[in-house]
Amino acid sequence: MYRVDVTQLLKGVLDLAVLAVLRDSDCYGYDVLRRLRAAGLDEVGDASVYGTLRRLFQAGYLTTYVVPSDEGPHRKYYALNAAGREQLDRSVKTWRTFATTMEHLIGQGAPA
Amino acid sequence: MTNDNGPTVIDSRAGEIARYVEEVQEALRDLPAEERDELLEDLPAHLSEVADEDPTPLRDRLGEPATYAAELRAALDLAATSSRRRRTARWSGWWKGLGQRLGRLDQRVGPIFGYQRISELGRLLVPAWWVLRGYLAAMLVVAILDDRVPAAGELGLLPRLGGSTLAGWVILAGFGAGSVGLARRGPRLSRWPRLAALAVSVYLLFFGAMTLADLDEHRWDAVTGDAGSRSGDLYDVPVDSDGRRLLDVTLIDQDDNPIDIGWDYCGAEFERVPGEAVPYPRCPEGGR
Repeated sequence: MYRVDVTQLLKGVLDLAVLAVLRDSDCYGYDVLRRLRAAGLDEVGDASVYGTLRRLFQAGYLTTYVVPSDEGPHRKYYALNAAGREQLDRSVKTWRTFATTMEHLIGQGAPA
Repeated sequence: MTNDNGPTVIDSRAGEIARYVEEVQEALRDLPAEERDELLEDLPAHLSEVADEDPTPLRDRLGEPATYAAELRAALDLAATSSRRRRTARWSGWWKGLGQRLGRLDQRVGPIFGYQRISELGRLLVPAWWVLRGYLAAMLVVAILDDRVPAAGELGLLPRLGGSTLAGWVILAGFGAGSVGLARRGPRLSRWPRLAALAVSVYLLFFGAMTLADLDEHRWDAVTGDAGSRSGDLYDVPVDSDGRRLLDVTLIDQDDNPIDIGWDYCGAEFERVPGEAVPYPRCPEGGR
């Protein structure tokens, strides 16, 4: 039951989480997944991250570039562009309003 | 195959990735090909990154390809919903803008006809449309049922079923009443019957316009004397066996009665323009 709840919550905030990771630095797909998990989002799956990156790229929020590697495969890095940063700002505001509302709601219902 | 097994391992990982991608692709085969290809475009490269970071087999690390596809689909369903919402909002905005523009046009054109809004005049004319619709439906049914009226262009102004004007009037009255009754029941009809009535009404309008155009064309042909492929003024002149023109000829019927050809009013002064020949068969040279 816990897993389902977190998965449902993640669906709504994964875009924001990925944009937030990319705000700090450009990343390739697996790197985004690793950073999300390191931040505590253990439930996030590889396919969800891959799908989210594709979607954000198609929406025009990300740019990509390939970094060749002699030892392993070439890595495709994703970076926020101006539209992506604006989207991130909007999402952050929405999230903060929502989180504050939820905090207030939960606080009201919490036992004294 | 090499001695240090390096390329073999790489080939094996590449094969594993290719098979995994293929199975994910198979699980998403219900998606449109273009959308699926776009979605999976980067997957082989992405899985190469995953495989490079961790030697664990992909199936152990990511789950079965079908599960991976389901997770991918779930992530995209959310996107599809968002894009559907965006499309709906865009259409809704477009309709709203169109409605506002039409509303302004309504107010602007109305005073020209003496109304605040032209839609007020339209509402007054709606019952006339109900009657016209009944009339057109009667004409269409007669055109279909009566073999002697094979083409809309040969329809008269009244429906005549089997040549009977009375039957035509009965049909006309029936369809007229039916059309008015349908209009009064219209608001209570469910969606599909209402759409069907709308489709039939549009078709009847089209049929009416085509019939009117045909009637007009036939009338124009009659007035201008256009006969088939020949155009312009026509002068059919009888000739003898040597091809010489026979002038001042009178045509007679089997009872030796002269055949009057041309229009009855050819001789009338008001029809003639001095110095201008009026062509046969409307009017032979010199009047009648």
